[in-house]
Amino acid sequence: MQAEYKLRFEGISKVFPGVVALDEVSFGVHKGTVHVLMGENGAGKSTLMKIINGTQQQTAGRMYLDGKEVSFRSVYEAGQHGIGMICQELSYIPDMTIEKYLMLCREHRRRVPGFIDWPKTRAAARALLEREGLSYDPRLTMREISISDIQILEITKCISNDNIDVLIMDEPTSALSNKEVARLFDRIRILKEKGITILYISHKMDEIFQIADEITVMRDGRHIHTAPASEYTPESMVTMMVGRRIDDVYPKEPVAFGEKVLEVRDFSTRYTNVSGLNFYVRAGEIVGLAGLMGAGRTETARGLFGMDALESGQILLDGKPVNIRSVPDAVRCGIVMATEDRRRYGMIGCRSISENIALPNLRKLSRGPFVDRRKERRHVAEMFRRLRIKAPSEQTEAKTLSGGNQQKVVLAKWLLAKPRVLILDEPTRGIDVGAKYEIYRLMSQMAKEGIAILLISSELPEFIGMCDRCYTMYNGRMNGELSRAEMTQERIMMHCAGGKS
Amino acid sequence: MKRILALVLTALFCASLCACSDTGQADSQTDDSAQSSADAPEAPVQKAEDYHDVKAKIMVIGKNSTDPFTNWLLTAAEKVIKESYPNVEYVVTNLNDDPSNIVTLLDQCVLDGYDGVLIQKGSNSINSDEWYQNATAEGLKISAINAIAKDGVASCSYADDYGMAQMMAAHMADILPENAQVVFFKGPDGNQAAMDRVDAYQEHLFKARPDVTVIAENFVEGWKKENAITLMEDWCQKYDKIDGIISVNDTMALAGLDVMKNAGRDISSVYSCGIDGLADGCLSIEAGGLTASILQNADVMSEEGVRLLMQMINGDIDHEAYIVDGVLITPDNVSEMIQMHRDNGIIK
Amino acid sequence: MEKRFTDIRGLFSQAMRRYGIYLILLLIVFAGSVLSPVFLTSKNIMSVGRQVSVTGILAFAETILIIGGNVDLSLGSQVALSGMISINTYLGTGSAVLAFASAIAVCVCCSLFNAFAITKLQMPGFVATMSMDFIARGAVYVYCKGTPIYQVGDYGKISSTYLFGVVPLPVVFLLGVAVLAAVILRQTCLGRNIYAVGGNAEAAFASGISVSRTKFKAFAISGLFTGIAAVIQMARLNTGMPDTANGYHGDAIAAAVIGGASFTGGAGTAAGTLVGAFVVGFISNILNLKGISIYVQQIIKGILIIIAVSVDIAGKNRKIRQVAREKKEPVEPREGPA
Repeated sequence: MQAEYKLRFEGISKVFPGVVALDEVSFGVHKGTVHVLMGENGAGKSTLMKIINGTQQQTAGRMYLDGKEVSFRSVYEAGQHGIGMICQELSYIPDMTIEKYLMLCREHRRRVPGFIDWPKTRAAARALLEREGLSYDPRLTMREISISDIQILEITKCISNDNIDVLIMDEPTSALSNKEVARLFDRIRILKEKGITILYISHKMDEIFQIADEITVMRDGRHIHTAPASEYTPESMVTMMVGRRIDDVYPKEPVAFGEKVLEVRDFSTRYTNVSGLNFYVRAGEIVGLAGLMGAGRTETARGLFGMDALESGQILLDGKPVNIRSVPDAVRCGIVMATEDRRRYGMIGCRSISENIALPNLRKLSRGPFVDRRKERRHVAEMFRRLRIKAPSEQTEAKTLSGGNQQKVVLAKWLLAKPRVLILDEPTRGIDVGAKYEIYRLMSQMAKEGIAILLISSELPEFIGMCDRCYTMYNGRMNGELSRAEMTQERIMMHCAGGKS
Repeated sequence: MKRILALVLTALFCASLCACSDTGQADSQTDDSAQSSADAPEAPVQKAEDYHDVKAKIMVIGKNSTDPFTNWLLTAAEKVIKESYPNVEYVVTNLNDDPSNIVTLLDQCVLDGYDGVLIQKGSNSINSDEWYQNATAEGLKISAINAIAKDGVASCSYADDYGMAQMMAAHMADILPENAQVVFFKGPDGNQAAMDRVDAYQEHLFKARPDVTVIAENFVEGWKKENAITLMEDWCQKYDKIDGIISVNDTMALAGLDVMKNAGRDISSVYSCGIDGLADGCLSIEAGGLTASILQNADVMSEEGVRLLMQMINGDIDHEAYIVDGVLITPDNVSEMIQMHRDNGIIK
Repeated sequence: MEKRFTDIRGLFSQAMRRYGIYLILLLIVFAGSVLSPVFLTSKNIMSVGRQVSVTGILAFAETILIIGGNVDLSLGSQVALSGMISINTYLGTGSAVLAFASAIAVCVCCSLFNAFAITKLQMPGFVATMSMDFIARGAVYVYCKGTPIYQVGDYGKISSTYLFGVVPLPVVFLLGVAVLAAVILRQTCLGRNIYAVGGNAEAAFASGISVSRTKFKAFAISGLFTGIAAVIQMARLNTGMPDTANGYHGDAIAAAVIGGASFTGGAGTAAGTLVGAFVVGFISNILNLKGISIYVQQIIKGILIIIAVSVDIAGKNRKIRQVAREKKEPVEPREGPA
């Protein structure tokens, strides 16, 4: 199908003082295709997208839309030319209701200028939700729904705009379950049939091969290769992205398991659907907790960590029951957790890396009421070395780090606490391939040291790659336990979806 | 759901307001005369004993709850009412420094069937004149203290700021040494009392004694001692020789003296003056600090204000004014003033 | 491809960000010395120090609260209430130590009540402390019937005494409080917890910090500082004035914000606040020496505060942009999309 180029780039460069973000990028995107952009963090994908959608302008080079040269000075201007974008960083207004949010900037107006016809607007919002088969109560505010729901709504909002010709999607599935991803892909196929061009950025290999017509790989601001998806293999793509061969994506090492460190009996947490859980983790084991959105994995973790209240059940540490009613209780018992939303729960963004790492360990690093600076420096330096944290200095503000390094800081602070049990909730979300590998390596190392690890993830390959055992949850209950040998993507998926095999 | 609840509650609220309000007023007094300013007293003043048995309900309203002069006024008013008009029911409150509270309180008085209001009302304005006229039309009698009433319906009992300041200025013009260098505290800008006092000083002191130089001057917000302290401290940095502290009230003059004393300067040779004759001013004069002051006798002011109100309530007068004379306080007569403050309980 | 940012422009903006407020102080001192010959004398500087001592100490109280994600709008009223009680304590016992102790006790009670309202009753800080402001002001009136205490004996000596004949006692207290605040913030675990809770209370909670206990301690420290300020204020007035310190929380917050404390929480230093207090004090001092009307002074002070804070924020934004360049990912500056 020799379609016309909808979008073409010729020598696009973007230079900031001292840094080249894009270096003479040239390629074309065919109309009505799903064109995937692959590359590590810092490869320049987001910068290129921002140039297309008007947030930034290029310093050199030309961009052609439908054969005509264009340059957008604002998102609004790009929008007028039919370009819409769903960002990776979900920006939303917490106190706005769903119906208002969906119709933002497209409200139905009354005949009197300046007034909005709310009944009509609300009806349009409800119709939209119905059409997409979404069952949210439109009067809920954005604050009251989960991140994955917000992502779905964001996509719905963008897709429902009929004036969109070119749709840019930056990591749209990072918070979605596999079922929701499938639905999204269906919708994408429908858009494709309508002739809409889709630019898709993602890290997830299996998704890409499901959906892509053509794939472009970028590295270090340069264009590496563009070709139809059929011409790529996962290995060739990773090689192009990273510039090196990664044979073992999952550095799993064999470990001799110890006794049961953590055991949970008849566990249920308050205000959630989690009930009647029974499971255990041994020293040195990496145990996975799989499930779809709403299955109750994060709620279980939060209950174990003392963030949420227990309804009933027992937590046993080394066989002895412990009473965990708050986070300090959990930490004192040696149970720590790297939370799902690391920006919100994981680190104090405006403080330094050193302070973040020290924060839960102050008792260890202090002399009386005073902080022992020398001890702190020593331990933080050791963590830097051991986790290979890349940052200008220990005093750098945590929020300026890349996602991967932020996650390392979170892990560093808990490692320093010398935990017995480490709970990881989506530890590699939004992190590029190279950093992911390092996190897996760390996990293996920690398992070797005898730490019991509970891994919650939405990437099935992670379970298969790293876990010794895997529990599956469905609707707040545990419905399966798979050994390493038994784990296949299909079997895990089946349990998560509620069936048994 | 929330909106329905809000509507229901609002409706209930309005209904309860209607149910509670009084209907009709006692004799309403029509005011034919539209005098624009109050007259000075001509008729002989009736004595308080004549109104000993009058029954009435009045509200006493001060400017705020913390100003020393206001407190003196209110304390004196209470004392007079309790001693001379035992059948009068009264309530003391204040405006919290917000003139817009006047209309709220006046409305409340009208609704609750008060007979009269004794109010320290602050500056005049077209709006406030209207409020008093409306309230009086509903039958409420108004007597203002520490302010001039220009609305044609209220009585007032006040001290003539210009007159007092003139008295002070003349005295200082007599005793200031030749070529004296003085600092001048002008009180808050835009405040009628302060502006009158400043005008009197300009006319009767600085114009009368052209050899006297004002080396530094400024406004002092709220007549506050702490603001005057800051000014004086900075002036002391700049000027080594300060012969006099001219101030439109005692508090600011005392601030100046305190600062000079703390800076190690000899204040016994400094000429200082203020106005009001409050307790701290009198104590300072007695101790040899402040040179002189003018008594703004709040006792008399309140007493006369209450008397005028009782006369209005009893129907004997329409509205009148009483001007309280200032009295020059010097080391010679300061002990009398201190005794008066002791009687009031302000000095222990 | 990773380049370290080393050219002159980068160094300059780094310097501005960290030391911007000191630069402003230097500019003001320079302007002062040009505009008035007596400005740069030790006597004048000490005098300004005494003038800013009360609002300066209150600024340290606000700083500790603001860093922890709180604010207190009742400090002025607390000063009046505890100051009056402290004077009576002094008149009754003759002990300056007890005078301080009683003022501190009253302020700590008020502040802890604020903390209780914010943590246990879940009231927003603004509302809770504003209510306390009304309560405390009313309490002063009830306590003393609005009448000032004119005879206070030697109480005023707390303000008029000089240490070594040169440093006024209020300045000694101001510096003492500054050092105490600095030590707490930089050297203690409590300080770290305050920064964490202010920077991201949820993450602090998920790291095992007791958010409510930290807030209680922060308010307690604020009460301690406020009590000290109350005694100095009454001593300076040499009278027990019930209507004093009106709106002082505003000046205190201004000094803290100029010094770098941010309402988003988790940012601010003791040194910055001290500089902020002196910046405001020097501006007032210079304008008084030039004889400018106090009402014009207020306008100028407001404008200069806006300038000082904008320069500080601009320096921080430049830093965000600089780091973003190094990451090769453009980031929006704090004020939102252009």
